[in-house]
Order: sequence, then structure tokens, then C-alpha cells
Amino acid sequence: MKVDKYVRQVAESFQFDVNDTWGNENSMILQGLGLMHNYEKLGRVLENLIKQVPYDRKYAGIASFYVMEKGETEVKDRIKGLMNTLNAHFDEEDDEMALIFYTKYETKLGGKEHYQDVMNRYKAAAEREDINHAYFMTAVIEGIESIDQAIYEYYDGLKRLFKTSLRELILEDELDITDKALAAFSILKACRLKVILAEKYEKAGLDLYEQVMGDIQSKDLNKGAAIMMMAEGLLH
Amino acid sequence: MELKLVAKTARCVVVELTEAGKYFTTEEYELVINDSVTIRGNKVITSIYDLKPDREYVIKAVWGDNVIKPLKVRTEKEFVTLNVKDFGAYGNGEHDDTCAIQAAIMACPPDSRVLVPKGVYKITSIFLKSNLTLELAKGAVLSAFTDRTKFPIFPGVIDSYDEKEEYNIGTWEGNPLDMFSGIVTAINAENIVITGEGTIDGCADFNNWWFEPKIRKIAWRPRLVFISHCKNVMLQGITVQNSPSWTLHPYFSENLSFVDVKIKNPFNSHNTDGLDPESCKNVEVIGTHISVGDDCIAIKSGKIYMGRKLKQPTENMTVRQCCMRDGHGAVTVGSEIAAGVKNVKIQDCLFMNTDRGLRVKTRRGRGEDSVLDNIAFENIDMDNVMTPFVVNSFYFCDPDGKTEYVSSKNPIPVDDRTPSIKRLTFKNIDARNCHVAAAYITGLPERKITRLTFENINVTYAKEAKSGVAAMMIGCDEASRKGIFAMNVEELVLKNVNIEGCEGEPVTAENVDKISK
Repeated sequence: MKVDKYVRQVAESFQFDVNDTWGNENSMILQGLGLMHNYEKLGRVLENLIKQVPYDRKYAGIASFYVMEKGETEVKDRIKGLMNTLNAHFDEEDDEMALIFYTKYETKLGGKEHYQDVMNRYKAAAEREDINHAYFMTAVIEGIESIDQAIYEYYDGLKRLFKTSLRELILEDELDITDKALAAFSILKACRLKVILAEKYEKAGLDLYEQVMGDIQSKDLNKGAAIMMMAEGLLH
Repeated sequence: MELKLVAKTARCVVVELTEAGKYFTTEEYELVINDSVTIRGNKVITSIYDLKPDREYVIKAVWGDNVIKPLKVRTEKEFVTLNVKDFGAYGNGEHDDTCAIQAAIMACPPDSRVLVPKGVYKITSIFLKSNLTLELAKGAVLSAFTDRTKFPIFPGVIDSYDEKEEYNIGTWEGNPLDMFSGIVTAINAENIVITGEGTIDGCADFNNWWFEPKIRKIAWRPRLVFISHCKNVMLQGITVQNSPSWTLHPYFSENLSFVDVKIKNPFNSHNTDGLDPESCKNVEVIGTHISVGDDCIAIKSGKIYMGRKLKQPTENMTVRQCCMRDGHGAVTVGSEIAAGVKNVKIQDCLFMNTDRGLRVKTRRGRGEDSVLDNIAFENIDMDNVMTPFVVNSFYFCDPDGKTEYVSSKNPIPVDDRTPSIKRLTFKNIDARNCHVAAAYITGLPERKITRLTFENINVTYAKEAKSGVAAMMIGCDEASRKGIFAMNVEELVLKNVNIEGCEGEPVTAENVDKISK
């Protein structure tokens, strides 16, 4: 199935879920659409969806930045509104994907004053016993892309976290198909951003990509993770 | 008065007439070479060109009615000259001559020179190798393209295959980040001379490199001359101008000489520092004229990551007989100084029309290796400098520079992030037509400046003194005609300090442990 057909189908059947967590399928669908925001065949799919999501939904938080970057200035207020909500009710149980939002917010709108806090949250997530490395690597590589490299210590800190998590992921016996999609996404993106050596890791990322594409209709596959992976695949 | 040898090549000799002034001589004089050629001069440091290799010259200086004791000097030997036009360079201001010049460089044997004769040579980046003399003849211009897609990229870091180490090539403002290669670049090379009366022109303007200068586009902006991990490098005589960013950037290099170089960038160009030695040792800058859009000389040693990792300060640096004008600071230490700066002496110089004379920029977070020590200014004339001495420990121009941690005037516990400033000395300095303040000095409350010495200092103000902000820090308000303000200093030495015409107290000391007079 062609990428654009799959993505369009997923977008058309998008459910405005009341289940509001950072790393749920809706969040990753929107993220994936965001990552494809330069893919002209999709037009304004993301913008149209984002505008229908209530501003305080976490699952639209990360993707909103892509819409903001395309010049939709009113989205900035939506993001700030969501951040105000989060500051008031910060949830210690937030999953890894929340870190992407915090990093993007700090870089784009927060003045970078709280990078240390963001870094501490990444470190805390890395030390969780129930860490899912595929999800965590996704959060880290998105953070790496978002963070201001001029404050190099944090950028380098995220690179180290990514490499450590990658080493752990490689040791895992078996990944489910969603983990494979996120691992493919994060490995390929890390190669492209020169966080890891493409010579050593790109093939592993491409192998995972092919495995997921070979089972793209699997009911166990998080469609958002698949779109994120496809978005990165378009760049390789 | 004495005529001394400063530097020589096979084709050029640089001499110094001692006790004759600061940068400019107090009167014109003549240099007579082998009793035949006469050059009129008005600078203390003078380059004599068009000499022959391996030949003895007798140089006399005639000062008024006095003939100074002649200087005998033999030029260096030279094997062959490789004229870049013989290698296919056009020099017509249109043709891309990069490859032809590069071919001449790579083909050049030891004890020889690559000659760029009169003409305009369009290039992107050329790369120098060891044991090379590159001569830019009078009227020769290496004129850079400004299309960034034509330039090679230097990655910030490349991981080793075993992922245990990394190789750093690119750098931007103290961090190992992707940059375009310098217009003239040397990496891991030694014994290099760039000499002559010609010009390297970056051709930067507000439609290309200086447009949206703080946004990375593909990679960060190139330096005009980038010298990385090199030894024994001399730049002599040449003019460097319109740099895309920092003009001369020696990086982790040693034994460097900059002699009679002319550095010119527009006063409003972005980040066009003149000379930025970063983590270098044994640096001398002599007889150089700098007029730029940022700091004339900015001494650096990396931001936190590079400073902490490699701990290589810039040390043993001398700047003398130089003229610095129109920049933000004449000589700046910082702000990327995580590995410290030690043993720097600035003497016999002119500072004109700069915002500041000495400018130290640091902040909490630079780290415990960021130690500034034994930095001395002696025999300096300043004219129309807004604030002659600024030491700012609360510099706010980093992306995270306006945080409470950086800006707090209350003591914060000392830890491995706390920088330190030890001994700063200012001696025999005449600062005329100042505007904002004589000095604005701030140490950190938790780690004061150890010893700050002002000796034989004269400060006067312009008749219509402008107001301005002495230091880029939160809490430093616009002011005019202020005296010396010193805060958080252990010992402040004030010997024969004369401040004429200031408004308010000539000296204001806050949290200063001891004032010696």
C-alpha cells in the first residue's frame, strides 16, 4: 500500500478520542502527520484535524507545533493554553511522549530557561524500570531535533540517553510491531541527524521498517507509530 | 630608539621602530633599504615587500636628523614559485578559481611559495597544508562566493567507529556544531605563512551571510580564515574583510603570529569579530589594524562542553602595537571561556571609537575551569571609547542567559559551574572622550574578583558624552559620565587614578573587601 494512501485513510477515519494521553494512537497519528507536513500530497490534513481538537487535549499538543510553524499563529495560543493547564495539573504519570511537548515548548515558546527541568525529566524517564525503549528513543530523538544546540550540554545529554537506550533495545529478545515501528523511526531519524553512525545502524532501522511495512494491516500496529515511521522513511 | 626585526619570509621583512609611538609613530620617518630604496612610514611596525630570497639587506631608519642603527637581515631561502595562473586560475573575478589555487597548494614543495598575482580570484574554500607559504601579491583578491550551497560542511562531531571517542571539526560560538568550512582553512597542519599585500574578501553583506545571522541555514556561517589544530602559523601583511562571521579563528592551535594584518568589516555587520583565538597558546598579534562590527579581538576557550572536555585554555598571548576601532570591544575575554584564559598582555595599543576597551564577559555556568588570570593592559591610549573597562560576570547573551541563576546578584553556592576571575591589571592608560563610565566591574558575590589593579589611569569625558549601557547584564542601566563602579572584588588597587568630569562619585565600590591606594 502506498504511503499516502495509508496515511489518508488513517486521517479520514480519525476519531476525536476522549482518551487523552500523550502517547496514545491519536497523538502519534497527529505527530506522524506533523512529521509529514512538508509532504505536499497530504495537503492540509493536519491543520484541519488540529483545529477540531479541543485546545486542552494533550494528544494534539505535540502536533500543534507543526501547525504553528506553518504560520497558523492562533495555534500558538492553543499551545500556551495547554501548557498553562499542564503547569496547573502536572501529572507525574505522564508518559515519555510528554517530554517531546515540553522540549518543543521550551525551545519555541518557553525561553529555554527550563531545559534543566526538561533534562531531569528525560533522565527520570530513562531510569524507570518499566521503560519502553522504543517509545523512549522516539521521545529522545524528537527532543534532540527540537532542542537548541547552542546549549550544547543538553543536546549532548540527550544524545547520550539515546545511545544508552539504543544499546538496551538491541538486547531485547522480541519487539512487538508498534515497538518495531517506533524503533525504525527513531533509529533512522538518529542516523539522519548524525546522532548515531549510519554505517552501523541504518540497516537495522531499514530492516525494521521493512518488517513493519510487510505487516502494515496488523491490528496490533499503532497507526500513528506507522505514520511516524513512514514519514521518516520518506527521507531515506 | 631601535630598529628591530619582527618577522621575515623569502620576500618580505617586517621591522619595528621602538619607542616611536603606539601603532602610529609620532612623526613620519624613512626606511632606506640597501641605500637605494626609500620607504616613508608612519607606523611603528612596517612590512617591506618585493625582496629577493636568501639575500642580505641593510635597513636604515631615518628619524628627523637621526639615523638609527641599521638592521642587517637575510631573507629566507626559496626553492620555486608556483603561480596560480600557471595552474589554471583566471583571476578575472568571474571564473571559479578554487580548484586551480588548491592544485597549486597541493603541488607546492617545501621552501617554496604559492603566488597569487594581481587579479580577483573567485573561490569557495581553499585548504592549506603543512610547510606552505601562500603569498597574495598587491592587487590580488581572493574573493569568496556567497552561495552557501557551494561550500563544504564541517560536521561538529563525528563518532569514532567504536563509539568511544569523537572527532570535532565544526565549531560555532564555542560549541562543536556544523559549520561551513572557512574561506581559507588549515586543519592539522604546521609551518604555514600567508603573506603579502593582497586581500581575502568574504564578500559578506546583508543580503547573504549577514541576513538572518542567528538562524542556522544548512550549517553555521563560515569563518574567513579558520585554523584548527595547527602549529607555527603566521599571517602577515594581508587585508581580510567582509567576513561572514568571525574573521580569523584559530582553534586549538599554537605558536601563532598575526603581523601587520588589516581586518575590516562594517561597523554594523553581525558577529564579525576580528581575531578570536580559541583554546590556543603562544599567540602574538603585532602591528595589526582592526575595524569590525563586533569585538576586535575576542579571546576564547570554548563553551561548557568543549571547555570541560578538553580543558585547553587560551594562554600566553601578547597583543602590541595594534590599532582597534569601531567594534563593541577592543579586546574581549569571553564569553565562551569555559577552559579559562591565562597570561595575556595587551600593550602599546590604540583603542578608538569602540563601545568598550577591555571587555570581560562571563557568567555562572561557565564552570570551574573557567579561570581568568594574569590579564594585563599596559600603555594604552583610548579615544572615544564608551566605557574603557568592563568586567561583566552576569553576561546575558546566551540562549539561557536571562535566567535567575545567571542574573542573581545574591550569592549562590559555589559548585562546579562557578567561574572565577583572579588578577586583572590596567596600567599607564589614557582614556579620552569617554561617554558612559570609566569602568564597570562586577564579580560574582560568591566568588569575587581576586585582585583588580588600576595604576596611572587618566580618564576624561567627551564634551557631549552619550549615554549607554556599560555591560550586557540585567540591572545595568543606561548611564553617562559615570566613574569607576566595582562590585564583588577582594582587592581593588587604585594608584594614581585620575577621573576628570564624572557625574557623581569617581569611585563606587560595593562588596569590595579592600581598597589599596
